[in-house]
Amino acid sequence: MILIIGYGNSLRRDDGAGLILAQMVEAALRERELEVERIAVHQLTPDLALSVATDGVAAVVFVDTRVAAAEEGEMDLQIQWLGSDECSQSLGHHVGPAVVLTYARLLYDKTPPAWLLTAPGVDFDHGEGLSEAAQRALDTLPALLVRLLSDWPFSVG
Amino acid sequence: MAQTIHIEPVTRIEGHAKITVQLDDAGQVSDAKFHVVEFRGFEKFCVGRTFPEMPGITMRICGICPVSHMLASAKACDAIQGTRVPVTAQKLRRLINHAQYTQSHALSFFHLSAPDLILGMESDPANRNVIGLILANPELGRKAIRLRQFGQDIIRMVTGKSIHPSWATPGGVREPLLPSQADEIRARLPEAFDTTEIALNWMKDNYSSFDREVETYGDFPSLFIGLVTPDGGLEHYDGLLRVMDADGRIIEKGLANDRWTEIIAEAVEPWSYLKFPYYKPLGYGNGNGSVPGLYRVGPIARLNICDYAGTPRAERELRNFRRLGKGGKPVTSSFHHHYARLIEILFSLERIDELVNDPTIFDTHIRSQGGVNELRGVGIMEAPRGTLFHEYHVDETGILTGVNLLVATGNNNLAMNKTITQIAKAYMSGAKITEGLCNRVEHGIRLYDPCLSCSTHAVGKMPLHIQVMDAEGLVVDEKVRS
Repeated sequence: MILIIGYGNSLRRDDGAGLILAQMVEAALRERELEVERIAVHQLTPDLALSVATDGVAAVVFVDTRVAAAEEGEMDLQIQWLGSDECSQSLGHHVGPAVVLTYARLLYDKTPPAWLLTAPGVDFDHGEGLSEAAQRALDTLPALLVRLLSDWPFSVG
Repeated sequence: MAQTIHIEPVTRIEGHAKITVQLDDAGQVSDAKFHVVEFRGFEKFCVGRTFPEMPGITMRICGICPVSHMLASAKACDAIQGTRVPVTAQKLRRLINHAQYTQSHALSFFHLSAPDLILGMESDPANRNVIGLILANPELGRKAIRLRQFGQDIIRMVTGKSIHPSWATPGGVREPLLPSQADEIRARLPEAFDTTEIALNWMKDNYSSFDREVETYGDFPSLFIGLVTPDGGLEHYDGLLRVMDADGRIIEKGLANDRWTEIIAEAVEPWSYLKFPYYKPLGYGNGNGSVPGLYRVGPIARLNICDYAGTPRAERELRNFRRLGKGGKPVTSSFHHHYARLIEILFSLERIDELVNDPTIFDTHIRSQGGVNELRGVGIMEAPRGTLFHEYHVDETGILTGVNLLVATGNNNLAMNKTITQIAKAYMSGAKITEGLCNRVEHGIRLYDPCLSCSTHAVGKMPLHIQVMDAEGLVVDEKVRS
């Protein structure tokens, strides 16, 4: 089973792009008859390690928004492999995906392969809906998935 | 030469903030300021919406305490409707509120503060984090995770979601509790009690090693404000506003919620977006830094102002907690927030136990219907980190014309500034920033478990950046934690 964890705040414009992108990834993977479970959270917290460590989780995809600079040509979806050996100094209400994986490894001896998929965000003001730039990036997901799924589960970039 | 030391941002707390420490000409700490540099625009964002939307909107302010915002908002909407919330709906609201206390306080104690407490304030920052704690005691790490998950699972079970549970609604709640859900909660309570007792025993066994922190981490006289039951009991969901002074005298016995603006006013300062609320009858002072109306909210305030806890285990711990006050006076050190949080987890678990064993909890009459009957509605809750005020003004069609949210972190703003000043004065010598000083100042803020942005996770991820600047603005010392 592929566990998708989308996170963000849908009332802060592009901060919610990760939540929308996670839904799109779920739908795309289900279309390919893959077993998928999706979790939507406002922000990552340590107890998500239990979900990551659940029996049957073959891979984890964290889906987030990253702060992007449109003028620097960063307005695409990006995917990166995540290790479970990071030890963030910013632990707390803000927990990064690598820290969740580290919890899963240290507490439950589970190290499923994991990736971080990010949508670009340029507008984090109060409000609903995405900026045009973020929406355009999300529209490229089908092409990205075709490329990535050809090398299941994901290419390591 | 006067100098200013900047610590920016503060790690392990919500949002975007920095700390400056002001040195006088003799090189001694004269003041410290906690700056919140993220603007909160939620009130303005809400104006123009219909009031029944508010529980669903405001719970999206915060990923850690959405239940508090949802319930405070629902109570404000109840007041606009003028309806009486069915008894079972009130019990269900209390159930998820106690679940939130469990998960939120567990996060604060085990994941944010325990590394400092157990591994040491001066220990190597490379190891002084929750990973280091796990390596030191993996079984406690697993228990801590499960305790927080227990609270989250109750919220998810009852509301259908663990975040953004648009379940409380004006006049009640949307879904009842099922007996099978109560069975699951009952089955998991023993381990939750066990984990809390382990932490309580650890805290009490090790108190003597924190004597200096108790004296220097926000130990000062202040007012204490919070809700109590009509007869003075510990209360988290509903009740009357009580104010206690530093000597333990009750100066407001039980003020009705809709009169809160008679006793609380809000000042602003040019160096922070966070409000500076104060107790209006004693005033804000003359701007020289001493605020007569300074008050604290949150765990120690709640345990100070109540006459009794009302559950057996929490009652025993409350009596023990009261011994920490000097000469029979209120407990004044903010360091005791850790112990107070654990007592409140115990209290919440006992209340959860009572609620899931109450046969009326399964009743299905859980919502009253109503329209706009009042043009002003106030909802006050005790969020885990302190008293939370929602006040709404609507027109006759229910459109919001004014919204005021006074969050717990705002209520503690003056106290946080006073706390970091006290810590800096106690632990800083010269203009050099040490890791130990950074840790202690951060811990001083973290005692209040603040939510600053309560909004977006995309901020606040930068490494810790500390600067020492002289009177001319030149950087004379700098430290970056990556």
